[in-house]
Amino acid sequence: MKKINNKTSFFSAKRLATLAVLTAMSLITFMIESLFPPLFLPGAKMGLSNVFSLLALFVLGPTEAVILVVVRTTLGSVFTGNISTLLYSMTAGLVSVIVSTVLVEFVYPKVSIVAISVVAAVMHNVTQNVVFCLVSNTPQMFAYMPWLALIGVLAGVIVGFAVWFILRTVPTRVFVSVADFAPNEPQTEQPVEEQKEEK
Amino acid sequence: MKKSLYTIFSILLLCSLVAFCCLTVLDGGNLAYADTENGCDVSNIEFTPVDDFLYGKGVSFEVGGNTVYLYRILNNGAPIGVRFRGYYFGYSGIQVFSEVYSSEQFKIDFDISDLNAQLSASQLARRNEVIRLFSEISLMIDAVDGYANTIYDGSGEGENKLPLSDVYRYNVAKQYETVEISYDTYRMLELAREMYDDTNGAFNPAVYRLVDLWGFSSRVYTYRNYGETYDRKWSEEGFSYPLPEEKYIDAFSDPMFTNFSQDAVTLEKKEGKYFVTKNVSPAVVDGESLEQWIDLGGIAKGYAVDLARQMIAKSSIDRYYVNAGSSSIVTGLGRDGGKTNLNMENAFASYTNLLQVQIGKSSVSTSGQNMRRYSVDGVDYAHIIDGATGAPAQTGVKSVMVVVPEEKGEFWATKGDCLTTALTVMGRDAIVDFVNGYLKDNDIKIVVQYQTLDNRMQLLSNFSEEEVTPLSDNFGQFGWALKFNSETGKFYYDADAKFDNPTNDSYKTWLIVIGSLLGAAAVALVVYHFVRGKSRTATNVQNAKKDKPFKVLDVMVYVGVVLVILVLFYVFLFDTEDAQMQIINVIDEETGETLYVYNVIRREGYVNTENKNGWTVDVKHTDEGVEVTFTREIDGEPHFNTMLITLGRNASVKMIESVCGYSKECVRNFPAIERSGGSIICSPNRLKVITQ
Repeated sequence: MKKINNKTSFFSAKRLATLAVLTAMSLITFMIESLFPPLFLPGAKMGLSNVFSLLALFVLGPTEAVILVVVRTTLGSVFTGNISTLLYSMTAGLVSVIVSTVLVEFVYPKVSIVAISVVAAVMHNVTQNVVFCLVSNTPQMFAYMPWLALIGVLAGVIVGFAVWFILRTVPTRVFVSVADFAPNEPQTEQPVEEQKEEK
Repeated sequence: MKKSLYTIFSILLLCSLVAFCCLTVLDGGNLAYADTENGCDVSNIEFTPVDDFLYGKGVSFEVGGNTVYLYRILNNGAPIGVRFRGYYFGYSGIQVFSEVYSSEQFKIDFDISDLNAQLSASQLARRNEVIRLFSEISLMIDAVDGYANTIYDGSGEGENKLPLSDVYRYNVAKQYETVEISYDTYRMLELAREMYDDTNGAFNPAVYRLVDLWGFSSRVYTYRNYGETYDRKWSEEGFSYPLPEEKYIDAFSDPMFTNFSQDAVTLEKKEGKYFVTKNVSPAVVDGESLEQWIDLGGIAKGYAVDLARQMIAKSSIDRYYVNAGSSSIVTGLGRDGGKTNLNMENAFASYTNLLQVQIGKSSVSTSGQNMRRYSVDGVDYAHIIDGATGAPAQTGVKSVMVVVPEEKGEFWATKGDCLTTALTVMGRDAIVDFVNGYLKDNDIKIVVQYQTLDNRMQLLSNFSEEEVTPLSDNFGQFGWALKFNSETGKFYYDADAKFDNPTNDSYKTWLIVIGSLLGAAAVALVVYHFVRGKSRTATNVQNAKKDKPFKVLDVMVYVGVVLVILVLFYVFLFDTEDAQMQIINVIDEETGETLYVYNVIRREGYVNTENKNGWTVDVKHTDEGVEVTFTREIDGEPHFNTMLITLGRNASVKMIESVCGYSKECVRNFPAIERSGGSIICSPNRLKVITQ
């Protein structure tokens, strides 16, 4: 069981397809969000597209989440015609993925998804602000950092609830088909079926 | 001149001095003088020996209620002159210095501090002549002050009784009232009128209500004597003063109210008497009538030293100088009969001398914006008021020195005092015109310490560079900005603006450090992931299925997040010192060049036309303020940003229109800035606005 799993998991068509779908959804959310006027502060956004990067992290794993973020930020800034924002939006996205990965890996079942999302969103905004200040050589922009962090809390709560809700309502089978499966889990009928299908 | 009051007194004084001359010798140093107040009341001068740390040995005595000091000046142990010192001009305590030196015509070969010295008859006569001269000068300064001081309202009792000054009587007079004034007041007003006309109103003694309103009058600045409805309390702690209300500024800066022409302030001479009539209608604010006020405080010192020079010249002394509080100086020949060295203070660094020029017999007036000033919300306000704006002059002129040679005529110290004020008010461009016009016609030399919009220091002077000797190390930081064009024979201003915006490399270093850390973390993450395997995701998904949105341990996470945010607030908001916005810099982020600078206090802007990225800057002055458009072609498409600078007390800057990125963050997201340290950034156009 484990062998089969390892063989098929990473580059399997299903995994790639899932990643592609998540990335596309993330990009669309990103584009739709950019249609609306930004929130009260420069650089402040809801960051709803992070729902899908967090989801990818949960379902597919960190590597895929990193790929999703890189693709989304690159294409997103190309499509919105704002290539100059690429550097700091990508850096911030990566930082937030790394932070949430660490949290998921080490403390996840003990703390909730919402809490992880809040930390990731705050880190995202703070990093974005820092990199923006550094790239544009404008230390004056640091003044926005506390407000951006505060908005990050709000965005994190919303994104966290969204991810929690998706994971809760969408049938496990959908995700487990692409997720790796721990061998010693007792009550999992679904993954077996999935593996059969793969064969 | 001959009719002036002080001359009459000085004749009386001279008579009494002669009469009591012998008595002086017999009494061992007691001299008589005539009291100005009581005409012929005669008492004795009591000399007290003094030994001053700064000035050496001398004597002090009382003249007309003032203590004056005379010190010996020695050269290789031999007496060569006398130094005079005394405090005048009310309680503001302006120190008047004078030195007279020995020359062929008038030998000062006696030690003034030695009261019991055996002197020959001629030595004694010259010694008494010097004492008489300075007694007279002292009485004269008191008299001029008594006419011109705005504070002297005749109040008080006995020794503390103040004189009733002509200026005070004019200021309290109602419209169409006529006030009889002394000859000296009449003369000062006449000279002020002349300079009011010659400087097109840049010097105007009738803006005194504004001076008072802004808190620079002696009544407020020195005495903290609040009584007018528009007075605000001075805050001792912050050494600050709340700004006046706009309605008073508007009322007091009305051109009719500050009118100082003959029609408005009418001077008359009738049957040997002098009169001034107030024809200006009062300003009415909230039903309260406020009369026009005038002030001769700025020129009374000049007038006093002008008179002092005439008195010294009468005693056939030609090596001397008189210095009234450094702002008004007359110089004769120097100690050795040559030129006098004149130092100018550095307005940018207190108590250091910047440069030295050598002058012959001249009158010198100086005025510095580093005196009598206060700061509100980071903006400096100094004592010279521009009647046109109704606010302290903000022209970048920090210090002015005016040198007029003696042969141009009398009363140039007085006129020089007017000129320093006028030059400070009129600003750089008008100064250049003035140098080529009025100052050239009258042979007047000036040195102006000027601060550029990008905070560099410059000297505007029609002295040649060779005539100026640097005295301070930071003289080199001053640019010599007034160049002479020998073809046109005219001076012109050479901006020599650089507007470099050196990029801060430490930020780039930080960027590299953060980038490397981030890369390392990403690599570590992927490696960790592959090593450890992907066994967790399925578990996580299954855990999520029955997850709760809140768990007990979440509390720790949230507390941590709140702590981080609090620290951020503390570091970036509560711990920063900001002030009112003064300078707006627009910078091309790519090249680091400044494209445009605007100073909202001085209401002056500068466009960098030679920028590398080919930005064109278009400045429009509208009713709302200043509209500046920055246009540049990026990838064949025209991009632009338009920002609006609103002026006034709460000046602000806002990006109002742009063709840049899709979301127009610079327009929609960045709020208007009113404080220093703010920023608006247009990342697609790579343009940023920084306020200082």
